[in-house]
Amino acid sequence: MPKKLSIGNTVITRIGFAGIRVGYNGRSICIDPASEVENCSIILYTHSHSRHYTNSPVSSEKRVYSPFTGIIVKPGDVLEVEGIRITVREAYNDPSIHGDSVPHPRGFSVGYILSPPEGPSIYYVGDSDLVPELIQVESSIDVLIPPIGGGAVMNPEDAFELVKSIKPVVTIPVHTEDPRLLYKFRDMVQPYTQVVLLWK
Amino acid sequence: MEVDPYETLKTLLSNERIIPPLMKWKTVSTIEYRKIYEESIRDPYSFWEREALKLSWSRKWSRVVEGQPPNTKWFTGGYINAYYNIIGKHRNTWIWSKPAFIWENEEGESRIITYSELDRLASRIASSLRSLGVKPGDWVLAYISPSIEALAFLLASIKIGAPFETVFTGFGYYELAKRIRDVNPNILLATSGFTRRGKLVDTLSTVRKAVELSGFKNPVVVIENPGTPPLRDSELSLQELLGYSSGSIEDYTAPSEHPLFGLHSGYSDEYSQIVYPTGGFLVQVYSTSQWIGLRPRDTYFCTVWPGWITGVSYVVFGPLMIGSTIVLYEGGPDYPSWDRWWRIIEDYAVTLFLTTSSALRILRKQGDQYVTSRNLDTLKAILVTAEPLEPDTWYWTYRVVGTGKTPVIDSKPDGYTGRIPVVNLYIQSEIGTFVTGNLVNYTFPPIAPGSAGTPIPGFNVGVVDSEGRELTESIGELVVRNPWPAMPIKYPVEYREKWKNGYYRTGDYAYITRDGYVYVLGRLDNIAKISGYRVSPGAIVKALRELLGIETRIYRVKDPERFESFILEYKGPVTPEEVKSTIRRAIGGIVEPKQIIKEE
Repeated sequence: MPKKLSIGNTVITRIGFAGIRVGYNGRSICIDPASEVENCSIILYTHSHSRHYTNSPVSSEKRVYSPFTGIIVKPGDVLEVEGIRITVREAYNDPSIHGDSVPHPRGFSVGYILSPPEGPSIYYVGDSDLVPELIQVESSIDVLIPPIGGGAVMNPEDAFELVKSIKPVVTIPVHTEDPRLLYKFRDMVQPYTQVVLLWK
Repeated sequence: MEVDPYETLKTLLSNERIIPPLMKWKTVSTIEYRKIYEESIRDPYSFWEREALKLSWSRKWSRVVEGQPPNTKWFTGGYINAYYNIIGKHRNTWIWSKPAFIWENEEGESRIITYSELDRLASRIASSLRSLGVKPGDWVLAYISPSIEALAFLLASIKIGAPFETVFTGFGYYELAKRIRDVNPNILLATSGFTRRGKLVDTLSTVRKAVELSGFKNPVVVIENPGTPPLRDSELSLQELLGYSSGSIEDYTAPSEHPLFGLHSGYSDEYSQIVYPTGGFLVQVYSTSQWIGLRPRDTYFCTVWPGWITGVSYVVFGPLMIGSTIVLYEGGPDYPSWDRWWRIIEDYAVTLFLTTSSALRILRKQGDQYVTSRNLDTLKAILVTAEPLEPDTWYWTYRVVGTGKTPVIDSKPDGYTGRIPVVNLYIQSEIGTFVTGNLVNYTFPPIAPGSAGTPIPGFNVGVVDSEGRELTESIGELVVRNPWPAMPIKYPVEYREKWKNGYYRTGDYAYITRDGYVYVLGRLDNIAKISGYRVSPGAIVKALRELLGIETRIYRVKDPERFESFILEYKGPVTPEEVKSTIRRAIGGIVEPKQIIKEE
């Protein structure tokens, strides 16, 4: 039932298949909104798969950041957007799990950490396996938004490992439409974080 | 049907003893329980002294108890910083950055505040109150719904040593005015309104009428919500109040017997105030909160609002002292549908759920589908209070709500075999905390469905006849034979008269089995337990005499959903509809009689 979660100075809502909108200081930063871009002032895409990005024109008033369109970013970049520090993170599939032909090869996809001043740090993991770079975070994470759907992204067990490693205050699972995976993940991680099943 | 404890007992008593699969390794035998319990009551003073050592005291007490009941004072000579023991002690621990409250309203807006943020907000409010001249011992009266700001305000009052009293928003302006006159607060805190079942409940208008009726002149601070009337010049919004904040202030360190908070409780003739001591209450509520199952990693949802003892003891104090996360829901259980509470448990991974017997009876009536369509597997216990819980509703809760989807040990989800404990606990305002009930984190003998469990260690509970003779397996009055740490420091004459021959008569009929299970059977007097609320018939009679000029007679009757209810008879020139609407507006919807009869 929760459709809008306020934490610190931010308001988080779900958009698209796996995306989020973060309201902060009168602005809206959207990550992977797919086609739901109308209420976004800044758009961050993690990669170009259709459930995350649609190749339709976006108003020039909206600033777009991604590894493939708009202002191009890559893992390790640190941006300053509307007073928010945005750290670009690695997100990729591990060939040792999937073989050479992976849906999200290294360099194709990224993740983001949003760090508003005095606000919570929000880590949108992006489409990734549980690769070593994910757990190497420099400062504490308040809100973790991991994919849990399995297949081309982490499954509930992988996401559980990530939660246990970085100990976020709140975790909002995304990237699945299977409630069984949501419950499985929720029941595993709840002692280590506060899970919120945020609905659209 | 009139209230008859023998009939009530017939609906409750069963010989079944249940060990929920999840409690397989934690359940103790009744013999083991008796050993622990009897040890605790052999010397309750030493028992509670050991519990008191679990809190942080600024100066240790010189005497554990002093004086004879009802004037027993606990931990005299001791000084304690209440705010530190509730919030401050979590600083520099992992709890500091975890959620203290998760709030949700009917529209699905949700908000999380961590312990550190809660401390920051409460400290700002405390500093503002201090700037307004509120000092230790001054009272704050709060007519509030369960919002983060309202709870932070109560904590701010504690921080500066100003005792508070909460008033349930189900009471109308007449009852609120009475409490304003009784308490004479320096600050009146009010919620401007909230939505319930999709409609705005305009509490601000009720507050204004009560202020006018009582002649209240001190500041009124309003937590504003959208859609409510604009504030008047005489009212201060919470945001305006925060403008008075002037830096950090030190927590108040209180003598043990300093007033912590008060509540009006229902007696035959009136609602009267009971005031609780700081030291003893904190000891008792901290221990019992641990015993009922709360741990720092729990997410806990209590449906009782903080206008009643359960909602104060086990929302404002106990869970925060432990460091748990508390879910606050500001809305109705049936909006937009009857699965709302189950969805809250599902969406926030609630581990401990506390509600009332009436609520479960009503939820059961709506149908299993509201429960079974949700996944409640994170629950580890369901706690039930306020009134007896009949075995059939207990079994429904145990099987339909408590079985879950994932088997544990030998539970079978498809067979609704039950999985987690469903525990009925007895509480009374005068005692301040739960007194009987199986304890998930302490003494947990097998559950006897229909009972309120076994007495909690530290409380010497029994059943006596009118001559004070001990009764077993026979109906009598529930008594507590030893003073308890949270004993009121201010009380009405009705409470004082309940202490006879060194023990306290609760005013509740009860029955205790040979193996120690207590069945609470309703009141000996004419007070009614309506949906768990203790309702004073005399207060209704007085109010209707004053407001409508009519004389009324009130009869208590059994109610299949709300446990008890009233039938009201009156003579006078007004219609039953006018009587009903006056009760709703002035006294409160919760006391509305089942039937209003005009005598010709």
